[in-house]
Amino acid sequence: MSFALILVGLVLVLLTGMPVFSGLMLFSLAILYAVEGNLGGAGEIVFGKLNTYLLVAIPLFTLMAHVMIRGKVVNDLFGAAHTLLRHLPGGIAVATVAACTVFAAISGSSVATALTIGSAAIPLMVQYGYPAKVAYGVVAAGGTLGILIPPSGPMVLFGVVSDTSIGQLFMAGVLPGLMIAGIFALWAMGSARFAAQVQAEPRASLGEIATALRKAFWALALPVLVLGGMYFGVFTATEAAAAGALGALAIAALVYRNFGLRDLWASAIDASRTSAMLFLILAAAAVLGNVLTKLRIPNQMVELVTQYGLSQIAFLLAVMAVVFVLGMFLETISIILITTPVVLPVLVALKIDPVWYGILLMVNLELALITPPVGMNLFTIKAISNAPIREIIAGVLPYVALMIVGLAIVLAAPQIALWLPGTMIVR
Amino acid sequence: MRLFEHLIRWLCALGVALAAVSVLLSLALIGYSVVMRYFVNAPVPWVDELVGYLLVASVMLGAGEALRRGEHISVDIVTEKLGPGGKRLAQLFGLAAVALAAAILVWEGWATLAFSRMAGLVSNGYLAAPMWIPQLAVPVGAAILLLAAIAAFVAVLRDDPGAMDKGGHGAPGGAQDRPQ
Repeated sequence: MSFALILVGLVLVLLTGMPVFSGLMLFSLAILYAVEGNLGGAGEIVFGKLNTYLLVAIPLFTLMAHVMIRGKVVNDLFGAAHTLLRHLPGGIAVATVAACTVFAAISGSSVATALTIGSAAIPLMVQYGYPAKVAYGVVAAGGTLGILIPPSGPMVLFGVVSDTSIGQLFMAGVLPGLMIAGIFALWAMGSARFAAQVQAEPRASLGEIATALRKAFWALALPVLVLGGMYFGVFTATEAAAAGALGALAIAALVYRNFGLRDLWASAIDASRTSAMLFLILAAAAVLGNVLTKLRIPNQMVELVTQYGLSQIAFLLAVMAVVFVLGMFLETISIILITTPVVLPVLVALKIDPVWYGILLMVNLELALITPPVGMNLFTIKAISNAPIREIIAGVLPYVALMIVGLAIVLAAPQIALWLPGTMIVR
Repeated sequence: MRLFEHLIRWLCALGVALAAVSVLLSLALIGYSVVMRYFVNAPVPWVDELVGYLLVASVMLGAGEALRRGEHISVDIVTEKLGPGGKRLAQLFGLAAVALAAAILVWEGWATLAFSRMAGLVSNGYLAAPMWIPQLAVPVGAAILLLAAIAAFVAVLRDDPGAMDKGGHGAPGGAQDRPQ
């Protein structure tokens, strides 16, 4: 039960609004100092955690997405999805889900996905008579696919903290991501049938489709290089990130011809600030993990679970409930880093595949991104549209329910996540 | 005071520039090692180790600039409901917390480094580098972060919103870069 106390204390500290990394670090060090009377080599823990080759995948994937965004590939991508899907009921909403899905394979971030696709999709949907809240809902929810469909920053973090193969995690996210995208698209089509004010658009001609696909070719080719390279064992996850960033640079410099050295420098600076922000939290969480281990809390968790004879599903449901509640207050990074060290030994004890758990966690975190009061994607849509947050929440609610359905399916059928990584070629 | 602020602005910019160089260098190194392994069949054994050190450097050296731009994530559901006075107090409290955490990192980071130097520790990778060199990034980066936090604290005290580029920490700056 002491973990519950620590968790509550930590949330209270973070609610004071201090930056998360400082809150985590000071809270952990205070406990350590109270228990051990020293700071337990915090410098060494921080250095050791940051000195991790695998982590560099995150700034490199960030760089790749940046280059593609600056290269204006988003317009081509959304244009192609719109051309292919516009004749369907709710065509633009379906195209938005499709564009989010593909962009999720370029970007490792849900916020970036909602931001980039939303800026193009929301005005168009409103112009064609979609109710505004429908437009907000589909972008906020579609954007969350960014962390489930590889590459994914949070998956890299989970992989590093739990010592799970990042390549396997990436591959395990593909089918659940496509499944949830499919559920969203079906919902968008079904709900549009009953909205009479939405204007239907004519089916695109073959010529239009060919032009749109030619324009979007490079945006589509990059994920094929990155994910295909990993699937066939050509690249490790980190190498795939480097190949993706270099590929994006080549596309921007040679095909789009709108990317110079100045842009490269700006993108590198942005990627550095992002990784500084992110990995300082990781380093602080490592200090917390160290404290938890010293207090034997992970062991106590295992004892507790075995004592009550919890089954796999019962334990997972309990964890998901805790993550869901935490997700209403904290952002995804902190949730991963705070819960994983405690959950991990129990996963081992109950023989739960950490890859499967990782995917369940990602879907759970997608929910966290669109559940009030703290949901980064809700804030992102607010930033794009300036709409009242109440209207955005109303639009996103059906998708919260759909996402819970998706979570239940992956919980009931682990093979949806585990089949693809099982077939990949490991080098 | 103006001079102090300019100096810190410059230090943060220098730090993040070095961080960006580290990221680009890592990109080049990994690209090089992939090419060497696949096309020349001569794997480069020291790349992974060096990339790890470069990552430590890029994180620690970029931390000050990230603070100056208000990019360190914080949970603001409570503090955003406060009045202007309460918000200001919460900002000061947050910056003081950052300064304290940074000061501890300077101290502890330096202690780690001093121990490595004294014991003559070298990495057990291919490079066999003296450990204190990559470890230097922790106290140096934390010192930049500490100075940036002090400068921001003073600026909030004097109610000068221009001292930080995006209106203080907790502002939703750089949201599109957040990998969540």
